[in-house]
Amino acid sequence: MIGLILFGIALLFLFMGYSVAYTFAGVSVIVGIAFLGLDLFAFMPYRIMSIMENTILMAIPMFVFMGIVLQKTGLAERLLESSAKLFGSVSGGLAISTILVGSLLAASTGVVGASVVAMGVISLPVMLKNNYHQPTATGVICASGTLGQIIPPSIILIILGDVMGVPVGDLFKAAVIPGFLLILGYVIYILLLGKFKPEFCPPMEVNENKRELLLQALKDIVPPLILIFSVLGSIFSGIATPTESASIGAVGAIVLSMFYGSFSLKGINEISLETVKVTSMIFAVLIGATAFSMVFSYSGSEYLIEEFFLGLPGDKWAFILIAMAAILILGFFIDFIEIAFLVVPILTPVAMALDIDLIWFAILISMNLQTSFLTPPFGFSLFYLKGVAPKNLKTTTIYKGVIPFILIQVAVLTLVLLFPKQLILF
Amino acid sequence: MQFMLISLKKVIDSVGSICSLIMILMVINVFYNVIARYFFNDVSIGMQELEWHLFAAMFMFGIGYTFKEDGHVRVDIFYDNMSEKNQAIINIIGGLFFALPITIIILYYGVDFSHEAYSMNEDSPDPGGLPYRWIVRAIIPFSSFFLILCIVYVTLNNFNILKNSFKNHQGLLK
Repeated sequence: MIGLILFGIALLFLFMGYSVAYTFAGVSVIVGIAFLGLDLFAFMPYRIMSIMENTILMAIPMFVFMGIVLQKTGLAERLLESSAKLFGSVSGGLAISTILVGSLLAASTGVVGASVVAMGVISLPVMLKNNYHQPTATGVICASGTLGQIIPPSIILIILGDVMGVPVGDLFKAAVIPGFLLILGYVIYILLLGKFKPEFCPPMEVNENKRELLLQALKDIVPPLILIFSVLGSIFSGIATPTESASIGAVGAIVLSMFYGSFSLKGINEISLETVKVTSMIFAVLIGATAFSMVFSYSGSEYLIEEFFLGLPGDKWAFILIAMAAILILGFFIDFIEIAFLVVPILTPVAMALDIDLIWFAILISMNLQTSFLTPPFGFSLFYLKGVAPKNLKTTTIYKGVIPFILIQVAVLTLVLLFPKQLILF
Repeated sequence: MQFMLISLKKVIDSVGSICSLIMILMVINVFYNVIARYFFNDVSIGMQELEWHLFAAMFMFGIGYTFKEDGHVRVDIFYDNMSEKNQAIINIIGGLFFALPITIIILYYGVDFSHEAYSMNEDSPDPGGLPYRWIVRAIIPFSSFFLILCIVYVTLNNFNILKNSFKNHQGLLK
């Protein structure tokens, strides 16, 4: 019971707005000392040491580093501009190029905020200038920006792999088809829109030579594609561990930045400092979650949760539905990192007891989180776009725009729920 | 007081720069090991252990630096709309009652934890691994001490914000 009270108090305090890592750690210390005694925390250094020795999690800073390098080299801008010109002359072309670039950015950076902001700054003005239906334009950007959650090498999959004890490479592989289905779903939706409501996504006038455009686009798309394929390929073929291939990606990104002529030692230093900040933020949450989970499991709350779920009727489905609903709702308020470190460890033993395939479960969780990032009124993706959109663009416009994409998400999520064997590669 | 704040800031920033350097070294280290292993079939346990030694130092000390930079995630639905004064109050309360206790606990138990390795003269359990395990264990107490410095810095800064907002308030009344 103490554990549940602890979780409730910590959640309430979160809304005060103090850093999540220390709110959880601080509340756990207070509750822990009050009910269980200080000695409980004598194990903290041992737990921290095992995080320090964790070579799987070591992939995170290097993928973050790679993402920030690609972001700072203006890769997003280049890709968006050249592909908009290439596809822009067809109905819906601008939206489709945004989706494709969004998925490419997702595969290379894996950070939601970064790609939504980049596309909001570059794509949105172009689409609006071309008289795109405002909700459609904003919906496309928000939706393709969240693809970073599911398309490997996403940070969330690395964390889930570590927390649930499944190989990160397998999770990356399993995410390929669901991620691809999402992209396909978005593109089909836009194509249909272009056919039945062409006034929603009118074509753009392009005066430049087609051949030159194609060459420019190839020059912008091929190098990052090679990088992404070499990183993912080395993981999938089993040549390299995710951590090793992350280092290849990090070095490769620097080589790319030299290729684009945007390399400088000062720039690398800034990128590295930014990486330190993002990484430390993630690991602070992990340490805070460690303190929390010590109190939580020491007070026997894990068994309470397990008993509750095992006592439910309807086999594993009741558990899956409740777990998904809880994650969806929590995802409105707290970041995926906290959910992965705090909630998933509570759910994993139950999933194992119910004989649920953990890889499948992990993919469901990450797709679910992605949907919650997109869902009004609190989805993160919507806030990021609102932050960079023109002032006269209403929030309700964005809300309206994401609805079709949420439906596509739910459809794909349902497919993965119903056909685990067919849609997950091993 | 101001002098102390300025020198604290300098110390914290230089630790941040060192972390950023360690991050680059870590990328080079891991990349070197990959190349050495696949192309020259040369595996060094020591070099592999160095990877996580660098990794650990980078993020453990980085946590303090990030604290000073206000880089730790918050649930900011309400926080963003608060006045600067209320934000300062939350940061002071959070720093003193949430961040400080856990850090002191980790420091307290971390000292024993690394001292134990020192007195047993513990080395890496693997042949060819790095000696002096107490050094990497000592990252825990040292980084905790550093984090306490950062908490003190941020708290003092927030007291300043609070003080100024009172002054401005009185200025407005006159």
